[in-house]
Amino acid sequence: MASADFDLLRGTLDLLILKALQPAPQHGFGVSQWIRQVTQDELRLEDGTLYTALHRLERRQLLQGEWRMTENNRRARYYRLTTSGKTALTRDSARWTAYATAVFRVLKTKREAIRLLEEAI
Amino acid sequence: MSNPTRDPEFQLAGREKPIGDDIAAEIGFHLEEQAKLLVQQGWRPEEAREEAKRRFGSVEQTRTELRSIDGEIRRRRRFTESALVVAGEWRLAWRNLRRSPGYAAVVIGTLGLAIGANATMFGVVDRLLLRPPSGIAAPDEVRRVTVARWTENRLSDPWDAISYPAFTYLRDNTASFAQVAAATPASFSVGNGAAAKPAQGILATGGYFNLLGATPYLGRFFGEREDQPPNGTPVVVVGRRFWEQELGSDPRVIGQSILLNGRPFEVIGIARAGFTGTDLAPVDLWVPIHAGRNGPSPSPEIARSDGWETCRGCQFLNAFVRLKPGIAVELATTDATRGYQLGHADYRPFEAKAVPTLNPLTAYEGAPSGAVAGWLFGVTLMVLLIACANVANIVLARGLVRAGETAIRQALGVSRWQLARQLAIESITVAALGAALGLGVAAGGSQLIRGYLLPGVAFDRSPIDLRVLLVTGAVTIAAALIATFWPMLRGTRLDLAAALHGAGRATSFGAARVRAGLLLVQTTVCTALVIGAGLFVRSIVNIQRLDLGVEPRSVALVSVEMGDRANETNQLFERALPRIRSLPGVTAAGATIGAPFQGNWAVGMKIPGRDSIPRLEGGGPYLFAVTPGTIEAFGMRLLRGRTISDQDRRGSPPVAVITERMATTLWPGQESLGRCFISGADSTGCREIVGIVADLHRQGLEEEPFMLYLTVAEQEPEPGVYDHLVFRSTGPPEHLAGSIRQILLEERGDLPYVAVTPLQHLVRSQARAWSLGASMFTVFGALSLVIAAVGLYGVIAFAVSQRRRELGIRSALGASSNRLVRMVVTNGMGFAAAGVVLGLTAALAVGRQIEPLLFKTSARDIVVLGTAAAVVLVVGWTASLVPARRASRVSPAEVLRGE
Repeated sequence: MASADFDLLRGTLDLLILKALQPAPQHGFGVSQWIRQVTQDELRLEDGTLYTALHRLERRQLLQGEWRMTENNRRARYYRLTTSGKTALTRDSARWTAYATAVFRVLKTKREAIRLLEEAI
Repeated sequence: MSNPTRDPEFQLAGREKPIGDDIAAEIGFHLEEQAKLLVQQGWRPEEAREEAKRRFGSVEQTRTELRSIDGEIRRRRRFTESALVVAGEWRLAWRNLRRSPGYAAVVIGTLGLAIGANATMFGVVDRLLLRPPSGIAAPDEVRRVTVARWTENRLSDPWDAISYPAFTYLRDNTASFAQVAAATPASFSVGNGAAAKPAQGILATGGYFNLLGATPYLGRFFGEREDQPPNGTPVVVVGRRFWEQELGSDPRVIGQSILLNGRPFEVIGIARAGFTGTDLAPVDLWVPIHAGRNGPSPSPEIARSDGWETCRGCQFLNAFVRLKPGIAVELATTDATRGYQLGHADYRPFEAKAVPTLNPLTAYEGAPSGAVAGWLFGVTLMVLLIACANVANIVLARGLVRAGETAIRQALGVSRWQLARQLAIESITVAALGAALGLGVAAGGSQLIRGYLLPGVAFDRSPIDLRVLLVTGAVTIAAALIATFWPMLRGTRLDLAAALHGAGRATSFGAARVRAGLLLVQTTVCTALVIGAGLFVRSIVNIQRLDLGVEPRSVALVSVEMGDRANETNQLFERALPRIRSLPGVTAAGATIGAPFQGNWAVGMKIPGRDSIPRLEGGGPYLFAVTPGTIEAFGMRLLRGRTISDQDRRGSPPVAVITERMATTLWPGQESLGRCFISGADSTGCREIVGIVADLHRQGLEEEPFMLYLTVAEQEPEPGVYDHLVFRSTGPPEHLAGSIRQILLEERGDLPYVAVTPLQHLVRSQARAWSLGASMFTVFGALSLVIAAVGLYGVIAFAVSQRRRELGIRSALGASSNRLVRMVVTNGMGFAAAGVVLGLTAALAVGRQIEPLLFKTSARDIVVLGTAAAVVLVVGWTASLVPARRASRVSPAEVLRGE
């Protein structure tokens, strides 16, 4: 994969993770299940990649990881959004929506899309 | 979703699990949950586990990546946590200091003064000894030439003056140098008439700026093109400060002309700030030597000699070379020696066998201020040592007082390492506050030293620059370690049980020995410093008592730089002299060629009937040519005969007044009055000796013996140009400067600057190295005395407080309060006496090294040693008397009840 595609994917994945943790703290397995459900397994994501992304987000202090007990009384590492994580989620979803809209429109009518892109930029 | 509960595990801070465990657990949990889910969806257990792993991707790779990410997270968290801990401990240290302000004041004050003294002296030493003059490219390649001459069948000590021909030999007969240049200081008068100002200049050969590799601030420097014989090009480069102060910082001045000694010179460039050429004295302007030759006279010899370019006896230039890259100094020296001797091959062995040496620009041995400054830096280190010993003592004592607190903290499980960290922070806090105070002291102290003690040095940096800060930082850390951290750490080595029992009274013999040792160091070093101060003060007293042969108080020299109209000077002086003599307050006045501390010359001298005259180590016989009134104005002491009178004029029989040494050297055991000798050209006729005056000083305060005589200027076959008017006044001669300038300006309106210099100033500048030594040694000696006194007081007072019980019992048993006082004072005097003995020993041992810096003072001067010992003992006695008084007032009942 070219690096631009990879960055795009990583950015997307980060956003998905932040979104997954928005309602409540969750462990890695829970996040993976959620992503699989909402994308209907379209992303074909390896779970290892997901964990790398989780820890990277923790390093960026967007997430805070901590050990808790699950309802089945098992030790699991939960992640919750930090304040800056919440900010990042709001900001990045707005950006992503604008971007996706633009791309979407390009595919429909080129001229209008260029205008929208210019606005977005 | 889940309803997670907190991990109940109790984790102590600092005992984290290895990163790998957490990662394994996290991945394990995921794989298990995934497999469980797959089984629920109908997979077989083994296949479910395989599928979970497949969906995960490479477990190993993920683990490595996570490990590196988590490692980074953990490192960052640890850093944040320890920063918080340190901040907390810093607050604690601050609180501790606030709680005992007396302790804080003494410790910070002591360290601050010592660090300040160090920073101040480092700034001075850095400028004088360590750094080359400012603005020179690759200064290591630049060398100052000194030459050892061949006299009395051996090589003399080298000195730094050479002739112009000698400079050309170094330039033309050598191959090791990229550039050779020569320069000589010269005073200039800038402008005309009443607005004229004096300026300090350098006459330099064309290669000067190129050799130094300096770049101008504005415009350009001059080169060989402007320094072509015979007259060069009248251009001038001005110093940055001169440009700002005298030329109004106006860049348009470049290309314009300014009047130097009455002649126009075109300003071609402005040097950068701080640029002073090869030396450290401030320079106002630079002029090509061939262009300046007709104006200012580089030396009295040259004023009287047209042939300075060919005169091999006129040593007035300082020569500098820049080594070609890769040429070793030894090789270059050999080359220079060959070239120098080759050029002088047909000359006297004095030069033909002379040997040049190439010295670095820094650490130039000819600068006595530099040597004194080096010693003073050593002295400030001693002051620092005393201060550290003192602070260490105070901190040790305080450690005993705080033993209870420390013991409780240790008993509660605080490790020694944690205690040490907290103490380190406390000591760094104290030292840092000391350093802040010290920099304040340095800023003030440097201004004083620069202004009053070293006015002849152009300091190119602010008193607190980066280098000073770095050194101060290093000194501070060292002081913190030695003076506070180490003794604090000692305080943590406690017998817990004993300390908790008798909190506050735990003393051990070991600690007492260390404190006594530190006190001894203080009194010893302090005694040595007081002795040093005494020796320099004694030198100054000896200088003041020195018989200069003239009476410098209330005498001033008046000089006028007339440039190429110098031949009109005599006329001007002769017209002005009667008016100056009639000024109220003037008691005598005359004109002279040559003056003490200014300049003099020598001509051949013969005594009829003798083949030769003896030579003295100081050279000569030297000659001043004077008018009536000059001898009286200088205050020379007439021993026999008469001085020069109005009857001694052109055409009357030639006369001379000689010094006592000349009389006793040439006519030992006989009367010299009435005898005659021939001075200079044979046509003069034999001069009758009409008077004998006391010996004079010629150039400096320390001189080899020489002969000198005074003739009547008018009776010289080729009358020279007077270089000075001299007058004696009833009050301070500076007060008459205005009237004298006015008289001279009235006689000639276009006169350049008229310099009026009190002779006392010339003497004082000769004495500067000793003044520097005396004042700084005295300051540091006094500082060390105060610190040592505080230290002694502190130790005795502490001992008294520790011995309250014993003293109370003694008192109860009937010891009189006098007896108690005596007991405590004896204790303190023991320290002082031991320190004095050791200090005297140290001073005697080091004395030989410092003797060359003293003025006619032995390093074993009994008066100085005795006074210093007495001073230290008296201070010691006073310092122990105060706590002793307190000891005598101990109430037995109170003490015994308190136990």
